[in-house]
Amino acid sequence: MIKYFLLLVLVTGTGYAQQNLKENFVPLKSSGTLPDVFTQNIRNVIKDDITELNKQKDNNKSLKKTYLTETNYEIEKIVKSGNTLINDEVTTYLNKVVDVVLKNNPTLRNELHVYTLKSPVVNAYSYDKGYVFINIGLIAQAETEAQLAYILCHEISHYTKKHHINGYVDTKKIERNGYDGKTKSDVLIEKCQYSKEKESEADIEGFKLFEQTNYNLKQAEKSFDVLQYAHLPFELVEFKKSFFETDNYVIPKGYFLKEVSSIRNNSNEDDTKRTHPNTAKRKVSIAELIGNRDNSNKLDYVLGKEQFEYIRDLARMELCRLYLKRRDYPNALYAAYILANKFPENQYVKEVIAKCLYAISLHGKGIIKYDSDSYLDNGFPSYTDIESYPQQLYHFIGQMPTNEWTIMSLNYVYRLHQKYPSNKQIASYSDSLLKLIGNTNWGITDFVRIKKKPLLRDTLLLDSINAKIETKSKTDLIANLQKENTVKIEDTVYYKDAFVDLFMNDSEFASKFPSANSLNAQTNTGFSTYKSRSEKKSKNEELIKAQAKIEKVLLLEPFYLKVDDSKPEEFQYTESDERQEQFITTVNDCAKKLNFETVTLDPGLVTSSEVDKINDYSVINDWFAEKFDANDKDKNIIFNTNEIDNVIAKYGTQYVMKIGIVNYRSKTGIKRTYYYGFIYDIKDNDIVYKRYVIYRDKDSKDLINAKVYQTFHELKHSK
Amino acid sequence: MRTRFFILAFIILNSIVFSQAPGHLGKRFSIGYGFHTSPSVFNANGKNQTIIGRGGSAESGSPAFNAIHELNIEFATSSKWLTCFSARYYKTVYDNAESFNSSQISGYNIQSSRPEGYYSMRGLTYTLYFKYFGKRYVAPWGRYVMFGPTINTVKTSYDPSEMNIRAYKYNSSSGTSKDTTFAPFGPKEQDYVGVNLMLGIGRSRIYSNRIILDYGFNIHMFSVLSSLFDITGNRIGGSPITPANYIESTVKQRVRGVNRFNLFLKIGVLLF
Repeated sequence: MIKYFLLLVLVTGTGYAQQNLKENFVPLKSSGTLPDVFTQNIRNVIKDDITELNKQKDNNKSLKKTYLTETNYEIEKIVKSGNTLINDEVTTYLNKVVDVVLKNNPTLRNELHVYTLKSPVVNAYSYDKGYVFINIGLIAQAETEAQLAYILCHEISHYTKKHHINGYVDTKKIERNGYDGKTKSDVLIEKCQYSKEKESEADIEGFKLFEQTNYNLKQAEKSFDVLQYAHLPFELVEFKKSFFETDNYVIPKGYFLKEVSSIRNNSNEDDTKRTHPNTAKRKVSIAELIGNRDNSNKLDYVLGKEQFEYIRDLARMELCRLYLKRRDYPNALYAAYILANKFPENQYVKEVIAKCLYAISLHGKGIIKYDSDSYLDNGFPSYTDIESYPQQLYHFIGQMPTNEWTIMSLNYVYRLHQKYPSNKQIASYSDSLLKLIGNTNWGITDFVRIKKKPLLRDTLLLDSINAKIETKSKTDLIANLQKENTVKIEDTVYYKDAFVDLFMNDSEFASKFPSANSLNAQTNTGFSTYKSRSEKKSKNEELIKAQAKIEKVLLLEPFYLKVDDSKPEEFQYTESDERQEQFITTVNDCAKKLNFETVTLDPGLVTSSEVDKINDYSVINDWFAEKFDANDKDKNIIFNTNEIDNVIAKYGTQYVMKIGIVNYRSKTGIKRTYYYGFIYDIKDNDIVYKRYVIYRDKDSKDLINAKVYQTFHELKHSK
Repeated sequence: MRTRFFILAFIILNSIVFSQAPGHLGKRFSIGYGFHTSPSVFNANGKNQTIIGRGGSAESGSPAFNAIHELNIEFATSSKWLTCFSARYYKTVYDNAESFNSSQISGYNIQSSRPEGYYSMRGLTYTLYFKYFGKRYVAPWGRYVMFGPTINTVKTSYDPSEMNIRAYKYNSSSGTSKDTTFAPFGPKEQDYVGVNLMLGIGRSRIYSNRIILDYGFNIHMFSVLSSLFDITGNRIGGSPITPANYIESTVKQRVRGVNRFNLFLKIGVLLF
């Protein structure tokens, strides 16, 4: 009976109903039971690993002990980061592929832990302890199941050949040997050379594993093409202006390139200072191995093409979200554009497009900004840096004036709002875009006219035309239009007719559309962005005191890090870990003393059944990733907010607290302790409390207790 | 009355304006013991008992140290301010290093311009003081400056058999001189009161959320300023020292010496 029950739990825990991507997409989430890495005591794991190492004869024990400490913490950090997917559809699929690859080697199979990492970067990693991480970006780019299988074989070979630990030891030795007459460049080349050798070995060993399967050997060679063109979108599709056009809105051809650039072939680039050999060499090497091997009856898909494509579509959908998280709106728009061709009625895809259009409008208005701290270093790249079809989109973004982009965005977003009226986000973007138009010199008089000639004209005529327009009241104009009694004025500007049908048939649009100069005083996006507040700022201290009454906070993984430059291993992992545990206790104790309600959300404190908490942690982390993608992070607008409302409702608070200590000791013994406590309002996208202080002192307990207590006291007594 | 009013007003204002008064983990009130010490550079102790009960003297030129014991109570009125009260006690002697003007003593042939022996002193200093903690610190933890008015009380006593003036008394009828001692220093026990302004800098650490370790230094402003007179040998007020005002004149110097500059180490307990 118990067996059946367990089986039922297993099936319900790991079984999935496929998503209907024709209609919508729900972002990927972890499910089922969390792996041991969440619940085990990492200090004991490290202790066991080192005990095991001590039993062996090894000349590099000291370095390997350091490695074991560092790598265990690194793995834990990745798995608990909220970016690792556990038991989700994609990860389950990857594990099935590994099952296929290692069906004759169950021992090795059991040593492996394969996870999907929510990262748009086309890459995969493996660690010495059998952890293999495959990025969403790579899955989105894979062309066949066989290619994915070969990439997994490559990563598994890194593990079986212990490349990670040996690479660590050899790299440290190169560093320890010093420069000794060598330049930095020489040392880098030496390290890269070593890395390349290991990569080549993994290619070959991976192929040996791969050829034991029933997968098409040729796909191993083709998988290098995926890497070669990783900088391009997952598909190359002509970007057509008609996508954004409606009956009354036709975009001038002048905004588009007649021809897009060709794709540069740099497969044989100089790889002297790269960790991986260039793809040309890798392809040749694999091609030689394939040679005359029998490749008949080998398959591109063992688990099935349909299943692969479904999983890849999930990854591609997720990829859009990851681009949004990085505020890479052009890439997100192009990815969503590709997906829209396949899934024209997918609500999620349309929503991504709406977000991108709106975000690009805000960027054009100077409301969304980038700087050197941003993932998109200082903004969108120039179209000249882009290859092939995506170049068209970048050119379009660059060429179309911001106000016209806003009109195009509104035309798309408002119609989406009509289709999904209950979608609050779409409604807010639509309202905000209307307000953006209100900030221009345009008003309803510029749009409420019926065209005579549906032809495209030069936008430069705008000013002269505006001068001739007779101003009428907003309601009069709408009434006249609806009665079709409007005096027809010849219009020569292409976008003036964009909303004619909306004015005629949609009273909400007509009533919300601004009069000319209605909101001319200030830029108002309709979004809560950054409120002015008294802020105390000096070299060693920053403080924003809470203005609103805060009664409960969600405590997001209190942080503690000790760095000691005077020691060979500057990051004091074990001590930091111990201190972090004490710190969490201190934080909760202080809150309790003041009767201040906190809920701790920390992946280090979950039980194996609390996968929901990991998902919630991931949602909030994504929010912060987007928030922090710039130096001037206080002003960043968040687009990945779909699930935030659920988290707020679940935990009963919109206030998320990040609190932590970083202690640093320099080589010369100088001590610094950094304390920070921030509270963000994740509903209204605002920082409501900030305390950041630097002490020229060690991280004594009285310092920590005093500051944490002060923070909660200030919150408790906020207005 | 006026002074009391200002002190009271200051405390109330402190409590109202800085109503965010967290203390350390909610504990705002502490009691403590403090030990103050300073090198006894001017007007050092006598009786060869100067370095916390032993050591050199002014005459020997050996280094000597003052020792003061303190009991204090401190209360965090805000996250930056502590209002405190302390009573400091010291027991010492004055070794009569100062000379007096012997011209005003008639009928005696004074053998020494300084009185023999010493007189004892028991001082109590009451201080109402305020600690202001640096911008990154939270009272009662961290670096602070402190200030406050002090009242110095001192009780002196002498034994005429120990502290006296040795002289020859001429007997005109017999035409002989007699070796004698006399003690024209007024009452055997004398009380004096003075006021001062204490300033200080310190740092307090807290262990186990209960024990306060406080260290730093303080000065008494008027004592420091009057040191200039002590160094030059000029007495404040300028009137000559006579046996009658010997204790009054020298006790002030000695009290200044004790309070002028002190290093301190205090240990306290956070009660609630």
